[in-house]
Amino acid sequence: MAQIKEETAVVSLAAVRSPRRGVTEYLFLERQQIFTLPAAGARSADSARLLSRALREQAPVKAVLDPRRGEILSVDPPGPEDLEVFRRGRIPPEERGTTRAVDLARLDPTTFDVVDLKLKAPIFRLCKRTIPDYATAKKIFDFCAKQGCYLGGPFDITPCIPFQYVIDGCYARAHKMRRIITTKYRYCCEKVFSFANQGNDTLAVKADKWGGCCVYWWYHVAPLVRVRVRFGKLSLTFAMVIDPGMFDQPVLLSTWLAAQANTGCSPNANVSMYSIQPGSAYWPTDFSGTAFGTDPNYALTDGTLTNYQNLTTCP
Amino acid sequence: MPVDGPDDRRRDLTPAHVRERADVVEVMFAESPRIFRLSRSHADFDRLSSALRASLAAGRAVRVTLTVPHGGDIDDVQVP
Repeated sequence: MAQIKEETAVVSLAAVRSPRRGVTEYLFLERQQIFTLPAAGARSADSARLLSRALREQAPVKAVLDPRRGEILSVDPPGPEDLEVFRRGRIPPEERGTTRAVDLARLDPTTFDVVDLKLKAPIFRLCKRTIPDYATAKKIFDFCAKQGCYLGGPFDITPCIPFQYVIDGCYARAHKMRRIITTKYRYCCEKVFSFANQGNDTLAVKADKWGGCCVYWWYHVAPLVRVRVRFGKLSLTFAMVIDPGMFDQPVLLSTWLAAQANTGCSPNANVSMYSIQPGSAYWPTDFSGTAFGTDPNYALTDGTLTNYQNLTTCP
Repeated sequence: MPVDGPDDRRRDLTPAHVRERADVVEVMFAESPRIFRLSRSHADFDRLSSALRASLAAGRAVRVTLTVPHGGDIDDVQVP
C-alpha cells in the first residue's frame, strides 16, 4: 500500500495561481493535490522561476514533493531517462477516451454494443488488432480467470489475481489482465470505467460468484475488448468486457453495465456514466470520471494484487 | 502526534467526494472504488467530517484508519 512520504516525480504544470496575497499555488496535471513552495529563500525563488517557465513552455519538471505538507521541496529540469519514464506514464491528449452519460432503462442492447454503429470511441481507431471471434475471447477470459488466487495455483503469472475479492482492487485486476491481453495475446485492449457519480447513484452488484452478498462501488473498471462475430456473410464487432470477478465468460458491455445496477441490493443502484479509456488508464483521479492516472511499470498493480490475494468478499 | 505507517487498517487516501446520508456520511476516495462510511454516531464525527471535507477541497490525501482491517467504516482521519 502506498505510503505518503517525499516523492520524486516528473510532472507538468496545469496552472500557477495566487488565491490571496503572498500565496502561490501550483497545480500539476498528474496530481489532484494543490502544492505550494515553502517559505521564501534563494532555492524557492529558483524553483518558482523554473515552474513558471515550465508552465509557459508546457515542459515537464522533475520535482521532489511532500504530499503530507503539500509542498514542493525542489525543482529541476528532467534528464533524458526521467523524460522517457514521464512519456510512458502519461496518457497523451490524442489517446484520451470518451465519457458518456448512460440511461440503462433506455439502452437498446441489440445495438448498443456494436462498435462503430452505436458505440463510437475515437480511441478505437488507434488499435486495429481486434479479437477475431468469440472463441478466442473466451480463451483469453479463461486464461485470466485461471490466475485467480482462490484457485491455489500453479499460476502462469505473478502475483495471482484476487478475483475473489471484488470489494476493492478492480483497477489492479483490470491492469494485470490488460497486460496479459496485450503482451501474451497481442490484441487491442481498452478499459471501460463505470461511474455512480450523480445524485445518490450507487453501483450495486450481487456477488453471486463469491457467496451472494451485495457489493457497492462508486466506480468499477475492467478490460474492454472488441470481438468480431460472424452472422453468415455479415461480420459485426462487439464491445465485450473481461471481468472474471463478476462473470464466467466475456460479456457484452451492456450486460456488464446492467449488472452493476442491481436494485435488489440498493434502491439507489444505477450507473450514471461510463467511460472508454486507453488501456493505460489505471484509476480515476477525480469524481467526474474524466481524468485518469496510470501505472506504466505495473508496480502499483502488483502491490495491490499481493495485498488482496488472501481476502474474501462475502462474510 | 506521530502518524503510524499504512497497514491493513490504515490507508492513505484522497477524498474525491463526500455525500450525506441519514445515518452516515459516505466518502469516496480516488484510490478505491469502495464507498466508505463515517457514522454520524461516531464520538468524533464533527472533527473527522471536517477533516475529510478540508482534504477534499485541498485535493490532499489523508491517513484514514478503518474500524477493522480492510473494512469500509472510518474510525479516524489524520491530516498531515
